[in-house]
Amino acid sequence: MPMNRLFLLIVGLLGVLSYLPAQTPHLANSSITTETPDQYYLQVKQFGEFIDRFNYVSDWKGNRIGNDFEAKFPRFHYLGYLFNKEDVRQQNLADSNYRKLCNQFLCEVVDPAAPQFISLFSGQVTAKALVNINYRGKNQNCTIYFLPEVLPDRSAKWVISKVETNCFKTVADSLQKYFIAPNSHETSFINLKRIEDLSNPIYFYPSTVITDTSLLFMTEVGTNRLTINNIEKVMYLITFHSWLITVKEFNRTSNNSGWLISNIEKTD
Amino acid sequence: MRLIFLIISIVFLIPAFAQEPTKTAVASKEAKIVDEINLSDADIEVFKEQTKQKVEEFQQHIVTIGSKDEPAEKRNMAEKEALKLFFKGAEMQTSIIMPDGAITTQSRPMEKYLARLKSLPYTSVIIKFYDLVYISSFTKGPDGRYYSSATVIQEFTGFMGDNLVYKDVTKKEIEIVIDLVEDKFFNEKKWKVFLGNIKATETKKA
Repeated sequence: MPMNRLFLLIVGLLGVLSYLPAQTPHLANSSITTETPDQYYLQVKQFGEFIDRFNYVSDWKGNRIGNDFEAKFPRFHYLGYLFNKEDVRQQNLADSNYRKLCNQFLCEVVDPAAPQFISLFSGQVTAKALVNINYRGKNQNCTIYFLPEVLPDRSAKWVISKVETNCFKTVADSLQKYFIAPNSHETSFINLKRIEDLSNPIYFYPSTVITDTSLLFMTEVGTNRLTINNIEKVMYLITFHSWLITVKEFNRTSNNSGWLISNIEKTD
Repeated sequence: MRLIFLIISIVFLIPAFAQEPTKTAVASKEAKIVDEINLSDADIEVFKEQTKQKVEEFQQHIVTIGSKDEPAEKRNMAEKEALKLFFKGAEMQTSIIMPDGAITTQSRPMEKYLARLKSLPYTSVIIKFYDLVYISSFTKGPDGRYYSSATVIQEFTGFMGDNLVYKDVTKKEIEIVIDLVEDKFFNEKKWKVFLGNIKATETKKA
C-alpha cells in the first residue's frame, strides 16, 4: 500500500474514533421512546398514509396488508375508518342521504370488476392551501391550488395551478393610471419607456392577463411587495369517475383523527 | 483499419472506466440504488431504514438538548450535532392550540428552535417520543434527490420544582431528503439522508 494511502487511512480512523465518544453517550440512551398509544396507530398521520390505506396497501401500523389482515378487515370495512365520523351528516338519524351517498361511493370503490384507487401523480389529486400573506404591509389571505406534475425522467414536483385572492383589487385603479395611450402607434410607441417607472410592468399587458390573480401573485412576489406569512391549512380534492371527495386533517384526540374524508359529492 | 478502431476504442474506454464509481461503491447497496430510476421494494427498505436511523438520531439529540439534568457541554454538543442532520435553511413550524380553540402558527429557523429548546423556563423537562415512526414513500424530485416525510410524536413535560406545569403531545412531520453525496475519502458517491423543514402540530395539551 502506498505511504500516502496508509497515512490517509490512519487519519480517517483517528477521525472516526475521536467522533465516537462524543456521540455514544446519548445515542446509547434507549429510554427516549415510550409505547405509542393506540389512537396514534389509528390516526391517519400523513396524506400519503391516507392514500396507502385507501388503496388497501398498508395496515394501521404502516405494514403491507397481508392475508390475515384482509380476512379480518375487508377493504369495504377498512375504508369506513377513513371517514370523519364526527360529521353531523354521519350522525343524523333523521337524514340518511349522506350516509347512503358514502355507502354508494364505497361500493363503487371496492367493486371487484373495477376497483378504484388513488394515484397522487395521475392528475386525480389537487391540493388546496389557505395561505396567510402580507401584501403591501397588510395581512391578508389567499387560496393556492397545487397540482402534482410528473417530468419525463419520472421525477415529480408540485406546481401552483391557481391563486385566488381579493387582495389585488387596487389593480383596477392602476389600470386607469398606467397604460399605453391609444395614439402611441403614431409616435412609434415612445411611451414604452414608461415601463421602467411602473411599480409592476404587467400593467402594459392585456386586461385578461393583468386581472389574472395567479400571474399577479407571482409578479407581486417578484417585487417583494407580497410575502408569505404561513400556510394555515391544506386540504385535498380527489376526483374519481363521477365523484369528488375532500380530505381534511382533523386534529383531535380520538381514534377517528388525522387525514379523513370530510365530504363526498357526486359530480354527474 | 481494425487496429486503428481498436486503439481509438481503448483510448475512449479507459477514461470512461476511470470516472466510474469505484468497484467498492458498485458492490455496495448505495451504489446499486444509483443505477436505478425506479425504486424497488428492496431499495425503499434501505432508504426507510436509513431514514429511521437519522430520525432516531434527531430524537436523541432533542432529548439531550431539552434535558436540564445533562451538563451544558453535552447539550451544546447535541445542538451542534442535531444541526448537522439538516439541510441548510431548514425551518421549524409550530402550531399551538390557543384556549379559544384558534391555532397559532409560527416558523423559526432550526438553529433558533434548538437554541430555544435549551433555555425553556422550566426547572426540569422530560421529552419522550412514541415508538412509532411513520415514513412515507420516496419520490424522485427534478434535482435527482429522493423526497419523503417522516412522522414522529413527541410528549413534552415541563416541571417547576416537583410540580408539573406544562404537558403536551406534538406530532412532528419531518421532510426527508435523500441526496447523492461524494465521499472524498473513499472516492465514491453515497446516498445520504438529510432532514428538512419540520411541521410540528400540537395535538393534545394536558
